[in-house]
Amino acid sequence: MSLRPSLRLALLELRRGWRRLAAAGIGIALAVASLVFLLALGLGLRATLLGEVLPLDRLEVAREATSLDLFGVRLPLGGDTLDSAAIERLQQIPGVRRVFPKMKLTVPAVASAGGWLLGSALQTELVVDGIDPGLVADEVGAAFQVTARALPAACADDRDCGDDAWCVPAGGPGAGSCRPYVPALVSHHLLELYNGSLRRVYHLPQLNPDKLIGATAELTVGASMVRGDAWGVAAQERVRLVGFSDRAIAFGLTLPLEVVRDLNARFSSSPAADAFHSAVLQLESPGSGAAVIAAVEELGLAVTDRGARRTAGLLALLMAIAALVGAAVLAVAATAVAHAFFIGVSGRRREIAVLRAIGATRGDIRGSVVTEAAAVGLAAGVLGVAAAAAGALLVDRLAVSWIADLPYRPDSLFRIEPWLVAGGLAVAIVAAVLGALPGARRSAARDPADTLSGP
Amino acid sequence: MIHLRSVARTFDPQRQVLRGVDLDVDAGELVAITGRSGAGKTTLLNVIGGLDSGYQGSVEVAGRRLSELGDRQLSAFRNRSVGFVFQAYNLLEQLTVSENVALPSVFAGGSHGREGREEVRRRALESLAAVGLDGRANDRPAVLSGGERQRVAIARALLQRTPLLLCDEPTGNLDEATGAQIAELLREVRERRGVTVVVATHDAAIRRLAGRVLELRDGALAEREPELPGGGR
Repeated sequence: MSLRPSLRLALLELRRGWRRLAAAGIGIALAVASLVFLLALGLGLRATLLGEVLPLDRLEVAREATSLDLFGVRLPLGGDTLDSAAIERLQQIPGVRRVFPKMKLTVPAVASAGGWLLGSALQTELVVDGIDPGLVADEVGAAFQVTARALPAACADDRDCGDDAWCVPAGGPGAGSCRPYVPALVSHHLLELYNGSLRRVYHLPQLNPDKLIGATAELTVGASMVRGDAWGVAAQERVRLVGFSDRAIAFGLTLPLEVVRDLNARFSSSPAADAFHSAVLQLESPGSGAAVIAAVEELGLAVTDRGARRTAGLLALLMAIAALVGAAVLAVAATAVAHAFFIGVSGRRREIAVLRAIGATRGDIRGSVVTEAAAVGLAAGVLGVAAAAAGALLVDRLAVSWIADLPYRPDSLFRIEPWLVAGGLAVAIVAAVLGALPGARRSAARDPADTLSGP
Repeated sequence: MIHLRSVARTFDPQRQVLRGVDLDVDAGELVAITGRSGAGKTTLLNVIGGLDSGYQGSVEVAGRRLSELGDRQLSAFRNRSVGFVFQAYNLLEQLTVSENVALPSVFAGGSHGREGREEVRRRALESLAAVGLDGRANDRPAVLSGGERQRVAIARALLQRTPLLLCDEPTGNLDEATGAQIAELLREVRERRGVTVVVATHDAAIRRLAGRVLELRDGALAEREPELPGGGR
């Protein structure tokens, strides 16, 4: 078979029989549309669930301490923290791109904020987490970094300290000096908790997250609303909200790691400043998760977010089912194409015989039918992918109102990757060509002399 | 040009259409093959033209022993050495007249296959001019009369300047006057182009123009006296 005659014959037939061929291609277009739509939805959900809710491209690792249960009290046997050496070992695991240690503030802290907005300040005791700013750099950029800068030596009020610092009031340690604001993150969960429940309990207004960026709060470290015997010495810090992140602690305040480290060293001990409570492993790819988990467990550590793995497995299963459904629809569509081409080729018996008489080889005839099918498949694939994209756009628009209040609101529920588009086109072409093969073989095998005999 | 030796063609044990046919046709001859319907005229043309390869015996056409050719070579042989004209014209209705005539160029390999669209169209118009239809190049076959369609089919057969023209009942669907015009056209083609023409026909007009008339009876060829131009023998 040479390409040129096959191509020209196919073009002739496409020009003549486009209505019949379009009808044959509709089934494939629908099948590809449903396949691409479902897989894009699966990919989108996976990206949202695993990238934001239960990130599998990041694994959180901690040391599981053995403990002894005694009368309802669980007594720890051995430490449950990671030291710098353990962090270094984690960094050596193949498939791990970067390790972000996390540290909890090991002294109580009380936050006070909102007086300017709510009339009177709200006070609450908070759990404080310290994370590496690199972990949230893609979300809040450099705003979470602690930068050393020269501050005025003395101040009377906040205006003397500029935009990035505040003036320690009289009556406490460091009074009359400028201190920088500590950048802070809170999770969407916390905002949801407030807007969904707490504001109703305390009859407070709903908060707009966009307007909260830049808000400040007083943080008294060493003070407690829960324990009466808190630390005798308290430190006063002022934090400034720089963003919301799902990597922030769910119910608490998240500060830069070095700030928490300094506070732990100041209020607890030097070893406390080197005791990380967990570490987030950023993986080279989600596919390396299983190997990394195995390596982590070999180090005697445990992955704390097993839900991510279960979710990943469930999503993989759902996507496989979607692919199977799509494949079944495609098979039906290919059967329809086979029928259409079989009928079409039968109707062109005499014409094909004439073409053979004037020099077409069997391969030319076979090739022309296959080329027609490939063209039908390509057109159906383009139509199917476009329909899937349009459907995704429509569902996204409708979903804006359905999921307006969810904390994890992705820009799109779908992810139409380039490989998915290419795959959709390829599958459409392959299905059409496979469907057309019996007709192509039949048309090429027929003896032209039989057909041309007689009027 | 054509050398057949002991050619036999059997379609099933009860139906042997050709029985030991011997035939020699020189270049530039116009040979008419007659015989009753079902005698095997079309089968004989199919064998000569390389469309039917299920025969026994030896077939040599334009210097090629056809039994030695594979599908690709047989196709090339048909494209470059043989022009077919059928009783039913067999034009593609969706193509224009000139596109129908140009169709064999699609399958021409080598330098012919790479010629430009304009060159192919020029040759198609030249072929149409040879059959007196150069003014109908852009028409569809559906608007042509039977005689005009057959002229288009002849123009298509002439496009590749093949040395052999095989015509199967070319006037079978035409009235007597139109059939006479087609017969005259075949004679002109033979004389002007030196093409060898073999025609399976019942048409007396063609038999009159033929240099030789062969009758196929009981699967064998027998020479008949050519008919005289006036209608007698």
